[in-house]
Amino acid sequence: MVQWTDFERATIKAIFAKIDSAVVGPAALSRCLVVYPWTQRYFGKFGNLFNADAIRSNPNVIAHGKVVLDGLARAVQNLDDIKATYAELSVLHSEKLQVDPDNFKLLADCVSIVVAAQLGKDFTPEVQAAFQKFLAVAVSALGKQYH
Amino acid sequence: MTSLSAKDKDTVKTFWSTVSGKAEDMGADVLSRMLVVYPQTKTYFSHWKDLSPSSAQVKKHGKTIMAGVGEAVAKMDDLTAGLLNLSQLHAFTLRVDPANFKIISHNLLVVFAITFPKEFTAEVHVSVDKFLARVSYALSEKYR
Repeated sequence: MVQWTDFERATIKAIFAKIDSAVVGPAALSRCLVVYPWTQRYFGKFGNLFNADAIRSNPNVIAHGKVVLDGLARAVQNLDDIKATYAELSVLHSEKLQVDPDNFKLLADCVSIVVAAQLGKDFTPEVQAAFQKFLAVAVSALGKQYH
Repeated sequence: MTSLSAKDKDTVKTFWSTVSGKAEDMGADVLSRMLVVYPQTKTYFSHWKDLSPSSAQVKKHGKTIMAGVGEAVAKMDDLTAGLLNLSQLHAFTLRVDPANFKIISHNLLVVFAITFPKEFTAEVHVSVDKFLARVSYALSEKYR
């Protein structure tokens, strides 16, 4: 089981209290689709992903970005049992969506960078460490049901 | 390994000219972040007394690293030749495991995002990411 320090718990919850998933989610997902264009393979039904502007303004990307961040927020509500919280999601990503789990890390890196840009100086090294630890746990949990 | 397009090179050069004024501060931030967020990287600095962000050694070395990035920007058209000396240094003297180049690259991106949130758009991000990957590759050329 993951051990969280008091600082880590407080930091992760504080970040999610501060950010707007309707802003950070779409920003992170669109950034991922631009920076790692091969991830677009999972979004064939989303319509126009032709260039960065199209991706950013694509209503499906915007909606789905929020879904992803809301999913992360659920993990924050269940910090002591992320693995169980994500069991169904993991099966979904593995069996139905068939997402290569290496891609989770790419999206997580984009979430880090978007949150860093939002928080600015408040995204101290210690805050970054706590936040990235949380993302790593989420990523790992999402990969647990891949066989 | 993807090569840099003319657009990538242009984007990186333009972005660097915007940010290089703050290179020193950013360098110290990048290095101290790496040491805190990825504690395994501290193993390369066991000879330093003080690894905290305010340490003179961290600040000085952060400046050195950013100067290296600046050099890479200037020599973008032939990174292998341009970074030959640095590659030899990292390969034979420092012997930094190349996996760490990804780590420092990530922290460079984080510091760019924090310091220049408006300028560090997704388009700039992808070109800078490609550039840093290319730099890391050039730095590892002499390893074996």
